[in-house]
Amino acid sequence: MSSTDRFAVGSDTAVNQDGSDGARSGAAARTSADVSISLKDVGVIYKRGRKSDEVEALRKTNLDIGSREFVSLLGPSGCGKTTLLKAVGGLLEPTSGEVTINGGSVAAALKNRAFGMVFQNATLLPWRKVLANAEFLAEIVGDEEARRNRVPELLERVGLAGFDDHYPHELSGGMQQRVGIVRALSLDPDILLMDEPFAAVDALTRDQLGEMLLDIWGGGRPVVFVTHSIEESVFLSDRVVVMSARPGRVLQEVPIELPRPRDREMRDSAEFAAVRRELREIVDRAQAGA
Amino acid sequence: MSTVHETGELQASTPAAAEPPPRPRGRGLTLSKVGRKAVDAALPMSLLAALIIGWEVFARVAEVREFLLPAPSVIWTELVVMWPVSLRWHAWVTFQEAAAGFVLGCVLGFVLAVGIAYSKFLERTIYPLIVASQAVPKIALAPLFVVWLGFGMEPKILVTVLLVFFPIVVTTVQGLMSVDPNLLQLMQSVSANSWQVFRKVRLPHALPYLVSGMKIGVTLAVVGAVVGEWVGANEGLGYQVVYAQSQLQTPRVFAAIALLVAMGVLFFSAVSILGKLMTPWTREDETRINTGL
Repeated sequence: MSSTDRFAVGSDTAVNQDGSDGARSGAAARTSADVSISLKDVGVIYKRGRKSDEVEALRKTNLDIGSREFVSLLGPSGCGKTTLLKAVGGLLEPTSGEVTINGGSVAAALKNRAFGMVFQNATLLPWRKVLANAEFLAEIVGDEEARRNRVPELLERVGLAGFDDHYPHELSGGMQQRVGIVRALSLDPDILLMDEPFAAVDALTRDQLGEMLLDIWGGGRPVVFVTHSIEESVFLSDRVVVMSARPGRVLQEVPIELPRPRDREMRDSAEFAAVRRELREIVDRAQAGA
Repeated sequence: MSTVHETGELQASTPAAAEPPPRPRGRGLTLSKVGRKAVDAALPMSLLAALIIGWEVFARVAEVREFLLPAPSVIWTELVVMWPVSLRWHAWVTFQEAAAGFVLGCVLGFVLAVGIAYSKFLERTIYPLIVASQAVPKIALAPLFVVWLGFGMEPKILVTVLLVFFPIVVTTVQGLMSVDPNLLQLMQSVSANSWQVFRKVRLPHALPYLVSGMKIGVTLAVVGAVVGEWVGANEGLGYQVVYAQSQLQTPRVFAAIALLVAMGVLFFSAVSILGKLMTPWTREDETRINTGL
C-alpha cells in the first residue's frame, strides 16, 4: 500500500502504526501496542534567571494517545496546552517526566520526521508561492516522491488546485492555513500536532477548515489539537483533554462518542448539542473546582 | 467560548467556494494604476517646474548678479558647454567613488550583520560599538583619511563606506533576527541544518530589510564622495564645487550640484529597481511602510 493512502477518506484503508488494521480504537479500549504518544509525569518549568521568576507551565501530566486518535487539548490561555504540544513534538525538553513516541524517544521520532506541525498563523514563507510553500519541507529533506506526487494531490484535496502560482498574501487566511496543513502532511508524518490552527480565522471559515481537516485526516494517524473552542473540540475529537491554568495540568479527559464520519449536518444535530452542553458543564465544573 | 454556527445558504456550497475569493492580482486594475502613477509623478514635477520658472523670473526681473544667484538658464548653458570639456570627467570620478563606496559598504554591512546575527559574542562586542560609532562625525574623519590614503579615490571611497554600511547593518540584523519562531520550530521538526535555515528562511526573510537599508545607504553614497573630495582632491564634482566657488564661478557650482542631484536620483532609482528584483513578492505599499522611502 502506498503511503499516500494514509490520508484517504474513512479509516478503513488506513494502516495502523503496528500494521494491524480493523476498527479504530476508542478511548476506552486501548492496548499498549496501540499507544502512539505517552506522557509520564511530565512537568515543565520555564526558568527566567532568578528562582522567583520561574513559571510552572505544566505539572505532572499523564496522557496516552492512541495511534489513530484525534485528541484535543482544551483550556483557557496560559494553561500549558502549547507547552504540552511542544514537549510532545520535541521543541522543548520537559523539566521532569518522560515523553515516548511509538515506544521510543522524542529525539528518535524527530530524526524520523515523525511530526507534522501546524501553527496558529499559517507561517508560510511570503517569498514562496503556494506550490513552493507546500513543497518546502519536501525540498528541505530532499523527498522527491512527496514533491512530485503527494504535495499536488494534497493541494487538490484541500481545494487549492489552481492556486499554485499565488503568493500567500494573495490568499485569504483560511486558504493560507490550508497550505499550512498541506505542508504539515507533505512528508506523511506519523503524528500531526496542531496549535490552535483555526483560531485566527472567522467562524464560518473555521467550521469549513474543521470539516476539511477531518476529511483529509481520515483516521490514519494521531492528531493532537490545541484549542479553546468547546464546539471545535467536540466536532473534531475522539477525546477532549480539559486543562486548567497556573500551573497547567489535566483536569479531566472526556471521550466524545459521536459517530464518524462527521459532517456539517452533525453540527446541527441534537446529539451534537447534547455532547457540547455536557462538555461545557464538565469544563465549568472542572474549572470551578480547580 | 464556542463559535456560533450559521445554518444559512452557505451550507449548500463547497468549503472552498464559500471562502472569500483571493484578492485580484492587479491585472484588472492596470489602467487606473498606471493613471494614478502618472498623476503621482506629475504633481511633484509640476511643482519643481514652477519653482524653476519662478527662480528664472526672479533672477531676471530683480537683476540678481550672476555670482550671487545665476538664473536656471545660465546654469543650463554652463552645464551644456562645460559637460564635454570637464564636467563629464568630474562626474565620472564622483560616480566611481560613490558606486564603489556603496557596493563595498553593502558588502561590509551585510557580512557584519550576518556575523552579529549568528554570534552572541559579536552581538555583544561589535554591535554596541558600531551603534556608538554613529556618534562620531565621520565627515570629520575625512581629513585623516587623506593623510593616510593620499589624494586618490581611496579616502573618498572610505568615507562613503563608513556612511553606507551602518543602515545596512542595522536593518539586516533586524531582518535576520525577526524570523517567526514557529518557522524555526518547523525547520527543527524536520531536522534542517543551520545552512538550510539561513539560506531558505533567514536570508530571504532579511532581504526586504536589506533593501530598505540599501535605500537609506544609497542616499548617503553621493554625500560621502563629495565630502571626501572637499577635503582633498583635484577631480570630481565635489572638488568642482569648491574650486568654482573659490573663483566666484557660481554657475559652475550650480551646474556641478545639478549633476550631483541627477546622480543621487539615478542611484536611488537603480537601487529601487534592484530591490524590486531582489524581493519580487513584496507589495509596494508594504515596502513603503517598512522603509518610509
